[in-house]
Amino acid sequence: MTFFGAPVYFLAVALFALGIFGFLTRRNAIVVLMSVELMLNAANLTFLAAARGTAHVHEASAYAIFIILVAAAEAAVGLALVLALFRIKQSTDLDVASDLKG
Amino acid sequence: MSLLPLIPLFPLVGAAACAILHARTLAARRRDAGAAQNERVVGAIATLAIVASFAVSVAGFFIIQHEPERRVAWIVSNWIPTGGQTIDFGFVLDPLSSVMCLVVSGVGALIHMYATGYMRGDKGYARFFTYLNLFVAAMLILVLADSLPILFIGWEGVGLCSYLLIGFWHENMKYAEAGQKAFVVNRIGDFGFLLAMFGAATWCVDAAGKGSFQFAAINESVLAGHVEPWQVTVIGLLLFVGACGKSAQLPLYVWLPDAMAGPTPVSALIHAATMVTAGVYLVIRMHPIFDASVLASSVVACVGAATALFAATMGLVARDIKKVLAYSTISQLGFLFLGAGCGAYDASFYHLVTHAFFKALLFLGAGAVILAMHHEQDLFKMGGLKRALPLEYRTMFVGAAALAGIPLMSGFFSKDEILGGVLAGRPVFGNEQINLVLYVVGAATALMTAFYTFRLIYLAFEGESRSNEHPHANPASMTIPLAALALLTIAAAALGLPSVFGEFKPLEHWLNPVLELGGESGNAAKAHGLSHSAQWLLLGASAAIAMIGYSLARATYGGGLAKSRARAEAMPGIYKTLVDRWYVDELYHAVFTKTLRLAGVVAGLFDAYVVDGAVNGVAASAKRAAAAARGLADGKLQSYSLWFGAGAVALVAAVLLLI
Amino acid sequence: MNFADILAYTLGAATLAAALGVVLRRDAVVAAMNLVLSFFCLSGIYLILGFPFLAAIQILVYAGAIMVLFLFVIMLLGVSTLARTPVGARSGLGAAIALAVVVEGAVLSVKLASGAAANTAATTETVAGVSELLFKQGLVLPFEITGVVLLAAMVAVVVIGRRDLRVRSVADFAREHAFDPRPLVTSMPPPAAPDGLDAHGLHTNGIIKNNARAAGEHHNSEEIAK
Repeated sequence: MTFFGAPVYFLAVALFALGIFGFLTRRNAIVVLMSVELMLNAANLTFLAAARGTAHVHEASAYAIFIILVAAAEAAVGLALVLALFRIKQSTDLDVASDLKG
Repeated sequence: MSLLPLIPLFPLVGAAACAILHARTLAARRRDAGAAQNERVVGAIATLAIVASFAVSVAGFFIIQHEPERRVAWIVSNWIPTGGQTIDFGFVLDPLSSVMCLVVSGVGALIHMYATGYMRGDKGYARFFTYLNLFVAAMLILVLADSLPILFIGWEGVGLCSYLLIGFWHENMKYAEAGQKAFVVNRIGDFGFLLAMFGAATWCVDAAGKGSFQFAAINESVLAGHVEPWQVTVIGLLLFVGACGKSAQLPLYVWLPDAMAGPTPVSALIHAATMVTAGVYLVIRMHPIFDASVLASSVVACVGAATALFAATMGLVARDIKKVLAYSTISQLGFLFLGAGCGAYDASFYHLVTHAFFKALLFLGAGAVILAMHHEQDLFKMGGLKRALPLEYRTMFVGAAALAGIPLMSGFFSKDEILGGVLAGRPVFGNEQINLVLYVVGAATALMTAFYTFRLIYLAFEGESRSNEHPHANPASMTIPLAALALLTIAAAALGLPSVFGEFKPLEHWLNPVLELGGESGNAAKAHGLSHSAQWLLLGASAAIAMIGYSLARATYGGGLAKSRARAEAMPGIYKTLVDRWYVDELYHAVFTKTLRLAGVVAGLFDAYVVDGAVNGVAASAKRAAAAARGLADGKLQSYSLWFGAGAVALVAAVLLLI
Repeated sequence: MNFADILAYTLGAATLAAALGVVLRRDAVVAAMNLVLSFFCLSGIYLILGFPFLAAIQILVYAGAIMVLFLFVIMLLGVSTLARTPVGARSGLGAAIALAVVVEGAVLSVKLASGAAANTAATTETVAGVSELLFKQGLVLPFEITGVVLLAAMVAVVVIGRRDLRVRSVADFAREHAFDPRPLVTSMPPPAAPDGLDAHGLHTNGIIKNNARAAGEHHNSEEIAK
């Protein structure tokens, strides 16, 4: 069975699910950001796998580049926020940052 | 005719003007200046409003004489359009309402004039005339109404004014309670009236099967036989329940003696001359219903007779001068119903008119005595007023003679007409024997009436003074109405002399278009008729009864209180029972008031535990739900994301299942 | 199953293993290293898929730039600090949602795979093709906007990264720079100030004082002219 049929999508789904799991359960803010990167990569993979062998490989490529760029921006801002959080709370534990609790 | 609405409009405008002036009176009183002048303005406006109304009534009286059916109507169509029927706002001036208008506005004007003197210096002077004018307006609407709903407006209006005026001195808790009692008891009657109204509008249909609230249509429907007999009986009985409330008949009479808490002009106008006759007026106005139902009319006759006798017994021992007159009013109203129940509508209405004159006269005289005695109402503390108040004595003697039925007085003839009507009238419950019994009851009542009337006169005016007060003279504004009413009382005899004195019966002829609805059979008393010799016999009997009553009173009270005390001690049981008014108030209190209180307590508990419990329970469960939901909002980024993710997953699942 | 497939399967398995490491390993540094590994494996898969340029970008940007940033922050905060952070919470619910995603994703995958036409007209990606799109026609504007996004992110990072995070209002700013933020009152001169007192007693700052004085002088000169 060729890898470039359903299995590559399965791989993307698994990556995405792991990203979600990490995002929802890890309390270290840095690892949570890493999980987001995992999800973005899963999206990229889906994009490219779907475009493979069609006339739209360049478009897929270009959009994947966009996604990577946005991921870079997101990581930069996110990590800056982690730093700010650490400065206030002396911790990167996301559960500590609950000042807006109702 | 566009004149018709003016009749109630004048007093209505007068009431509004007095209400506005009330504020100025209060201001003047605060400044302690100009109050007297303000009073004169208020009194003049109020009295002139009624006089104007009276003038229009007189004009209307002459106008309808030239009308073919002796009636004019003024109707605003489509006042209340409802689904099936449309209620029009209409007044009608026919012989019956015309005489009522004359009596109401005429006696009302005299009483207003009297009240300008009686109420002088009272701090609610303008307020009093506001209510009084409003009452006259409502009463005129009541008598002019051409349909039951319009009559009901006046009916409720006079009830309201009665309540306001009984409790006029509401600082006194007892007076305020008397007002409440009148209002509540009247509500019971109103309930019956409303049911009768809706019953009549539903059942009394014309040939096309269409119902109406109008008297003319209802009466026609009954006469044409479009209504089932049992339905007529139900409507008649319910109407009579309403009439019982308003006209103080058994068992709803209890409010009237307490209503004497109001100022005396109020007692004269509302609780003797006009409002309390509304029930009788209603019965006469809708007499085809009672003609058609033997049961209903028999109940009317029997209740009337019972009330007449019952109230007269209480009048025998009352010590309060106004209470004596109140019981006599109830008793006379019983007479009116007795006559109406036997089909003697003309006699009943005749007595209604004469009673309005002489009872207003008696009340006003009593008021003059009370005022002269510095607000002393106990007969046992009066006496010997003949010298101090000669005019009051003479006029009241005229009134008393009329009430007692002294021969050749108006009350003598009208009462005799009723008694004759009872004998000759339609058989009560289809049994002539019962008519005889009712006649005996009526005669006994007449005896008692003569007795307590002259007891009042003797206790108040004759003999030696039993008071330390020095009576002072009354102003002319109070004595002129007394004299006028005395003249009216004497003159009223001419309205309906019995047929033995010839066929000179202006009132009866005048009323024929109304009373002879449905032909001769509609007026049962006349259909039977009495022979002249029988009439002479009855007149003689009545005269004898009146004279016996007078002599008994003179024998008992002519020489002061000693003899009456001895009599009271001779039969303590009866005396005590009568003084305590047959314990009816106590009975009502035990049966109804206490039951209602108990129901109130139960309802209170229901409210506190069930209703409030439900409300608080809803609030508490909302609170608990909120507390649970608050747990979701823990301020943590990832738990919010969790729910967001769950929602997204569910959404995708839904989309997948749909495609 | 040819060589490329076998290689792809292997790389895919490695990617998954590395991703599991990212999510499950306690140590942040180890997680970051696992992430780098998964990026490398994905890059290989891109290569096999026929996207050589993107594979290069993946390594350059992700492994080269982003991961360095991550490691930089980790080192900045101190590895010992991060070790004190608890590993995870809500794992039950998180796992349930992840599982649901797997199921739904699998369904979608099958649909996607079966819908794709067996098009093997192997058009491979070329740098020239991508550049054509990004710089000459098609996606030029979005690409420029991406540049703006990156610039905005940079500014945001600089602001957020300031040591002094105190919230400052306009009034604070004004106070520090010594001028009154209230609107300048210049319309009417004081009604009457015969003794030369300033009616704007409350407005003691220079601008308004000067204005009032100027207006007053103007007034005076008018009177003199009369």
